[in-house]
Amino acid sequence: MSKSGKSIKKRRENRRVFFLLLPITLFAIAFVYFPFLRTIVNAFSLVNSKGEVKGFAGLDNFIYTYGRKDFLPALKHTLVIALFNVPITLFITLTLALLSEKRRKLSAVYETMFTLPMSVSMSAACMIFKSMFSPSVGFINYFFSLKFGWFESSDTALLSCIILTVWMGIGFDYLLLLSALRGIPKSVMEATKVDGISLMRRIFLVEIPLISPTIFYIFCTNLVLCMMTSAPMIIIMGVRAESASTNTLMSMMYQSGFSSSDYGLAAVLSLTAFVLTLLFTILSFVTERRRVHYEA
Amino acid sequence: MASITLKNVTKIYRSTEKERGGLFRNKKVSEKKRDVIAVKDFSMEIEDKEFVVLLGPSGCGKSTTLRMIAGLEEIDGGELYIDDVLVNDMESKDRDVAMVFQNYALYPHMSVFDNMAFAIRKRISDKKEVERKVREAAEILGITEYLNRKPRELSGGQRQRVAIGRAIVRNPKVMLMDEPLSNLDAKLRNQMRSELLKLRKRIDATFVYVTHDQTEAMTLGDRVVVMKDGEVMQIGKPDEIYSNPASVFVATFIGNPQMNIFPISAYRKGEGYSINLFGKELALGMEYSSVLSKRKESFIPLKLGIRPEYITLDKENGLFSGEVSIAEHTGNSVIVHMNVNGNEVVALEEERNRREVDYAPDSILNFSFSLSDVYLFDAESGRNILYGVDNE
Repeated sequence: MSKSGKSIKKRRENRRVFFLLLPITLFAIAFVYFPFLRTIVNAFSLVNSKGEVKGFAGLDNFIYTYGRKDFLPALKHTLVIALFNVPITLFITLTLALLSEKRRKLSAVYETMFTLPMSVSMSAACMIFKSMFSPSVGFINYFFSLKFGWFESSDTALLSCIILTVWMGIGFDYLLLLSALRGIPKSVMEATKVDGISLMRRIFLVEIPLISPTIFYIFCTNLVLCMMTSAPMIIIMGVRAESASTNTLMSMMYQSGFSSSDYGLAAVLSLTAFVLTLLFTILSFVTERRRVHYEA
Repeated sequence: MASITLKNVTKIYRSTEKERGGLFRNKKVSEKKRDVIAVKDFSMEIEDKEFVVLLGPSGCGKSTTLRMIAGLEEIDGGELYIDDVLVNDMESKDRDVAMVFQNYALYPHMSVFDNMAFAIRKRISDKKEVERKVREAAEILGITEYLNRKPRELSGGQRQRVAIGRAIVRNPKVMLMDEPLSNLDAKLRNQMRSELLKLRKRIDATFVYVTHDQTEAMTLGDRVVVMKDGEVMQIGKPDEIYSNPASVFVATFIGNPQMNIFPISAYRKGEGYSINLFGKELALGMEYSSVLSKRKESFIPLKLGIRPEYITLDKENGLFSGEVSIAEHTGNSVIVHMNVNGNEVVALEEERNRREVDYAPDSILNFSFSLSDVYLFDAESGRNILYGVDNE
C-alpha cells in the first residue's frame, strides 16, 4: 500500500514538474528551437519571398552568399567589432571595478553611474549616440570644437558603432566584476596587506586570477554579443551609401530577411555567425582550462 | 628583538544605524549614532620573544586588538609601540609583522610553494635563497611533499601549516595568530597545539595569539590576557590566572568544568568572619578578616567559588550532602552534577581516585572541600576580594 502511495506521490510530483516546465519549454520551442531548425532548413532550400520552402537547393545559397560583394566586408566588420569591443570593454570595466572596489561614502553614487547604461535599451542608446555624435548639434563635436560626421563618414562610422556597443556593455560587466572583486575573501586581501604585497602585484597576481571565472564569463558572453551586433547599423546607419562601411553579418541578415525577403541569404548569414560564435566559444573553453582558476 | 607596548589602546566603532522601513513604507529616517567600544584602554608590555595569548569570549575585542597590532585596524586612542617605535600610523607592511588567519587566507590559485614564497620574492632577489627559505620552513612544518599542490588539495590542518609557513618564511619580528586552530577538528587541534609549542622555540619572534579556547591559552601562553567586553580583566601567567583569578568572570571562564559560584554573605563572628553555606556555618580564615573588616555592612554580600576538582566526593563522610542529578563520564574522570538545596554543585572526580561511590541519578552523595581552596568575590563588582592584597 505504501508502495502505491509512493508511486502516486511520485507521479503527482512528476506532473507538477511537467506543468512548471511547460511554459518555458513552449516558449523555447516557438522562439528558439523552431526558428533555429527553420534557419538550417532554409539555408539548404529554395525559399520564395513569402518564406515558403520550394525545394532543395544544396549549397547554392552558400555559394551565392559567400560570392556576394558585401559578404566579406560584413564578416570583416563583425570580427573587427569583436576584436576591439571585447578587450576594450574588459579593460574599462575592470579598471572601473578595481577603482571602486573599496566601499566608500559615495560608493552608491558612482556604482549607480557606472551601471546606468544597463537601464538604457539598445534602440534608445542608438538614438542618444546618434544625437551626441551628430555633426551639427552633437555634444561630442561641441565639446571638442569639431564639425565631424561621426556616423556619416565611412572612416569613423565603425569606430563610432564600437564606442556605442562598448558603452552599452559597461554597466552589466562592471556590476559582475565589482561583485566578484568584493567576493574575494577579506582575509586574503588582508594577508596581502600584512605581507606588504605591492598594489600592482596584488592586482595582477591575486585579484585578477581570483576573479578569472567572472572575467572568462564576460569574455564569452561579450564575444557572442559582438558576433550578433546589428542594432547600431540598422537604427543609426540605416540604408545609405556609408552603411556599407559598418555592415555586419547580422545587419546584413536583417536587411536581406526583413527588407528584401531573401530568406535563403538570411539563413546562410545566421548560420555563418552561429558557427563562428560556436568556434570562438569552444576555443575560449579550451584556453580556459589553463588560465581560469575556480575556487575549490 | 621585538617588544610590543600598548598604552591605553582604544578602538571605537562609530556606527550610524539607520532605521527605515523600506523605500516607500516609512519616509521617516531616524538616525541613531551609536558608538561601540571594541577595545578600551588596553595597556600592556609584551616582552621580546614572549608568547602572549589574548583570551576571551567572542566579541570581547581580542581579535580587534590583534588587528590593531597588525595594522589592519586603525587605533582610535592610545599608543602602540613595536620596539619603542610608535606605529599607530605606520602601514601594516612597514611593521614587520606576519599574521596567520583563522580561515588560513591562502592564495587559492597559487601552489603551496608560491603561497609561501609570494611575500619574500620581492625582497629577496636571489631565487635560490627564496627556495631555500621556503624549503626550510616547509621542513619544519612537515609540508615538503605538498609544495607543488594547490591549497584546495590539502586538508584543513595542512592548509594551516602552509599559512604558518607563509608567516615564518618572512622571519618577522612579530607573529600574530588569529584563532589559527579554530577551524580544525578537536584531534587535529590538539596535535597542532603541541606542534605550535615546539615551533615557537625555533622561531625568533614575539607571538601574540588570539583564542577563545582556554586550553590553548593555558598551554601556549607565557602570559594570558583575559578580556571581556573590550576590557582587560586580568593579565598573568597561566597558572596565576587559574589559581588566583581577579574576578568571577576570569574564575568561571578558566577551568573546565567551570567553577561553582554560590551567593553567600559574610558576617562577623567572634574574632573573625563566618559564612553560611547550605545551612552550615563556616569560619573564614584570618586572611579575610583584614579585608572584610573594612566593610561597614553587618552582612557582606559575597560570592563563593570552588573549583569542581577541589570537591571531594564520599559515600558516608562529608560536610554537605547532595542529590545526584547527572553524572558525565569522560573516561579518565567523571563530572557529577548534584542538587543541594536547589543549588547546582558540580564536582570533578578522577576515575582512579574514585571511591566506592554511586553516581546513579537520585542517589545521595556526601561531599566536602577545604576552605583554603575557596575563592570569595565581591557580590557586586565580582572582584576577588583577596586579589592583589598579598602584594600590599
